[in-house]
Amino acid sequence: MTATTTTGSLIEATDLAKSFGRSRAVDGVSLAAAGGVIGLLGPNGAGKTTLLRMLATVLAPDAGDLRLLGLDPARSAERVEIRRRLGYLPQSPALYPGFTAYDLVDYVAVLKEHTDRDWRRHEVRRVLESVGLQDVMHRKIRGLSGGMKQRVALAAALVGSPELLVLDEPANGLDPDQRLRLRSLLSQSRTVLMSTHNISEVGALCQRVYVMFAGRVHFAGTPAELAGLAAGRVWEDERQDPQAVRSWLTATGTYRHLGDPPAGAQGVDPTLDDGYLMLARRAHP
Amino acid sequence: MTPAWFVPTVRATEWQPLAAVATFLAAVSAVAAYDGHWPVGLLGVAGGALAAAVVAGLRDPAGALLAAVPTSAATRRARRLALLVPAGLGVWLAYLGAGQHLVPGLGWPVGPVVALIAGGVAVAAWAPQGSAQTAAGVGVPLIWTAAGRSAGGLGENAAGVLFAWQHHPWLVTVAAVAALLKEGKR
Repeated sequence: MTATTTTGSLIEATDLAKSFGRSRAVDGVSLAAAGGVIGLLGPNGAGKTTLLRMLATVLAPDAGDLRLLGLDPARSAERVEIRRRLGYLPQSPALYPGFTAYDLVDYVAVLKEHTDRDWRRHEVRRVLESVGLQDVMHRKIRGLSGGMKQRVALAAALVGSPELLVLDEPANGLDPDQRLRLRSLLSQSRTVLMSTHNISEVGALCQRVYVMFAGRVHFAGTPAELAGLAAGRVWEDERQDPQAVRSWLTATGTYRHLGDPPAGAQGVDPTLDDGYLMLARRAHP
Repeated sequence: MTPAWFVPTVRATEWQPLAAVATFLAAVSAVAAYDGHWPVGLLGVAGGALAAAVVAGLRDPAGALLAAVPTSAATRRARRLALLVPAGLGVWLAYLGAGQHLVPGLGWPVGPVVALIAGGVAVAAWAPQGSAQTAAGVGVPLIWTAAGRSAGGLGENAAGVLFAWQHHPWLVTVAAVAALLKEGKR
């Protein structure tokens, strides 16, 4: 293996673009990450998965510059080196149903070029324990629940403690307890780029967040800055307000409104959801 | 001592299509032996089905999970082929062997099956990534052999293409392997 010391950004993406036929899935996205957990938010079809696939070296961009871990994924030898130091979890991946969880993660370790059997035995147990599968690691995958399968795939991504983790909706199918475990696991990782539909996950975990709509990044900043987009534009009332750009009934029985508050409105602190919805409104008025 | 990839690759490979075709050919051979008449007319269809079964064995349900490992898709495919092709050819030779005493001059036409497998694998390798990638390769030997059976009245050039797997199997194989090597370097 080549030992490459990386300084600065582990991900440097500039003006990335990718089209499928006439559809432009990613359109001029720039993104940089030097460490920590970075969240990628956006509605279905926003281009998050395509962007993550490019950042995981699975898909080559049509245009733009991309460097990962200081290396160029367009060059075959450098792409292999990136893959040695990268963990990737695709969205809802299929697995081999006849394998046990242990066998599958061990196979992924082999394909990650870890040939030392003793090292693998220790590492496979470690990652399966880290995702809470120590009691079912020798059960066939076909007999595991959806959430357990998701954790098997996550364990496979974690093999070898990769420097960069690219995770497409890692919390899919996990129960609240497992989500908490995932948070603590990812917060210990070096650099994580993850897409999610769960905005509270971003608030709890991410130092930085990117929000995509229709293939473009519409926001890049901290979760607090995202929530701040709705500052002074959220209020609650007993009745629905036709002037609000968005209104919804909360669990307490009051209506929460987004938009320009009327005189005398009772303003409330904005949440990440408010900031995201405000941004979505701007992106698609 | 086998390499670390060997056992999991054997287990991850889809053997059911090849097992199904092998069972079918064994049944045909048994009936032929009972009748004392071997179905020479089925040879092309049997070869196409067998080649399609070998290509179908390349389907990798966990391909998305493995898409970013340093061991490339081309290497993983080559490992599966190293298992599937000898097994497929073993079935084919057993089938041909069953007909040797019933059909004088049957010979051992292995080249056409190798050409059909190679063509299917090359198409599967070059097909766009996705769920239909292996299916595209599986279709090649099936369509190629079926088209050859209904190609009456074709011009010389069209017939040359349709029967290339039969008349120039090693040329087809070399071209397909070259395409595969080129794909591996992408």
